[in-house]
Amino acid sequence: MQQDFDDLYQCHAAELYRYLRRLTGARMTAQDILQEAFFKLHLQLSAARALTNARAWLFQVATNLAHNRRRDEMRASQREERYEFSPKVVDFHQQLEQQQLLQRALQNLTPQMRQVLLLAAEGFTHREIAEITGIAAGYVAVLIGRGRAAFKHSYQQNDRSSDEKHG
Amino acid sequence: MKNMASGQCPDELTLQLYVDGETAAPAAELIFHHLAHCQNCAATLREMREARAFCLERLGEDDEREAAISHQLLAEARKTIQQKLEAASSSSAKVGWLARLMTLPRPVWLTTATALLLLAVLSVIWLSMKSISAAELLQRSAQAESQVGTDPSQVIHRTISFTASMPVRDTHFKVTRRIEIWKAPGRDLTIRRVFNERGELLGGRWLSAASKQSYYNRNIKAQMLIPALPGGIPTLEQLLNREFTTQDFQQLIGAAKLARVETKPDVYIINYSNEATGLVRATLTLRRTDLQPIAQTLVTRCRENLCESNYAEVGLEKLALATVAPSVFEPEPELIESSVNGKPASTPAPVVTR
Repeated sequence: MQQDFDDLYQCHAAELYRYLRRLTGARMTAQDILQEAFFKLHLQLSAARALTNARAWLFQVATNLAHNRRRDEMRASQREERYEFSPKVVDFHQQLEQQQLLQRALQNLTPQMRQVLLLAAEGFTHREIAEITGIAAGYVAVLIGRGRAAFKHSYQQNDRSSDEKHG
Repeated sequence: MKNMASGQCPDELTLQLYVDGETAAPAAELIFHHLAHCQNCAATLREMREARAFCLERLGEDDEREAAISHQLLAEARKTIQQKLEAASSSSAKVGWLARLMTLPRPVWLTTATALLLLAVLSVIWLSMKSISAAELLQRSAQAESQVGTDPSQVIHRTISFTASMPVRDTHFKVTRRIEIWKAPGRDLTIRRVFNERGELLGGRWLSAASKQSYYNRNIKAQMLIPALPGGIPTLEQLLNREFTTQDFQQLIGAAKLARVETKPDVYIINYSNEATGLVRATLTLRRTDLQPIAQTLVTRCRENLCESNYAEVGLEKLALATVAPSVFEPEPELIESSVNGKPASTPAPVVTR
């Protein structure tokens, strides 16, 4: 069981972390959620519950945790809203301009659109995304198409503004 | 797809599925053929593919720097998860131990024992609350009384305080006496001595099992007052004869059915009233622990006046016969002297045995 867990961590931790970091816009939040998701996975494996698609299960749990955290943060109005891009977000290292652009473009999307876009970028099929997010499969495809277009547009617009600023 | 077969353009959803490679083979073939002839759909598909590629490029693998950070954070996360798992495992082990402990002593017998204990407690409370009839209580008290003072090696020493009061014309008469009772089965003797309020010995009575009685009266002035009083206040002889016992009280009230019991934390109080017989009120107080009488009040009507007399036990000793001075069992010289040389004792006729 421990070996299974280690293997799953080895295989999926990096992509789950990346997904969560982009989804939440903060490394530490992503790390917290990742820990919680893998802890739940361990409990699941300990209880000998069958997981047909551990990767999708992990992303689903992590997405729900991110959802809950966002809801809690929205309730605590005085706390920093991490879903909205904020230049005040403190990271270990200085953000690179490209990453800022990417993050800004993601933050311009609706949470639902951002979720499906990121999951699609991680290689999940429409059906899997539908299972993870609970969104109807047909609507997932629509959201992905519109999300990609919106992301591209937003990213390029921010990129141009940035270029103009730097002169 | 039906629309496409009839030459219509595919919708946004169909194209998106096609772009992501999620269209089944027959449908994909239809789209492929349609795109070859439809410039609009081909343009839309191109835009979709470009957007997809753009996103995958930007949202694909992290750059080297971000990957290094991720690596560090993931290693930390792995450590934290392990710690969390160990903590959870140890706490669940504790809970498991406690749960096993809780299930061990909880078979049916424990529940039964608890229920029985509860029933017993409730029964005791109920019995203590249950009202007892005066007749029953007097009977039990009389039985208990008969068992006291039967040990020949013991001497029972009781001290009774007696007070009587009665208004006569403008004067309120009050008499206080102290009665000392020594009961020595080992010497076949029950001795009563009556003292006045100044502690002067007024008289005594020596009673043996052979029914031989000896009365000793002292002819002193204080004693003279009592016979002069109208009825209600007992004379010295009455005091010497009066038994301060439950049996005595039973004889006094006669019909115990008319008596009522009052239950107090330490005592039972039996109240009786029958003005027709001149006994306005009679009260006997019994100690709950051994049902021995410890107080008695009598209110009698004497013409227009009420006379109240109170007996109260103020001392009770159980002594070994060997520890009691022999002089206790002998009449005092002044008693013998007054009985022989002074006035004879009043009724019943004195029988001086010494």
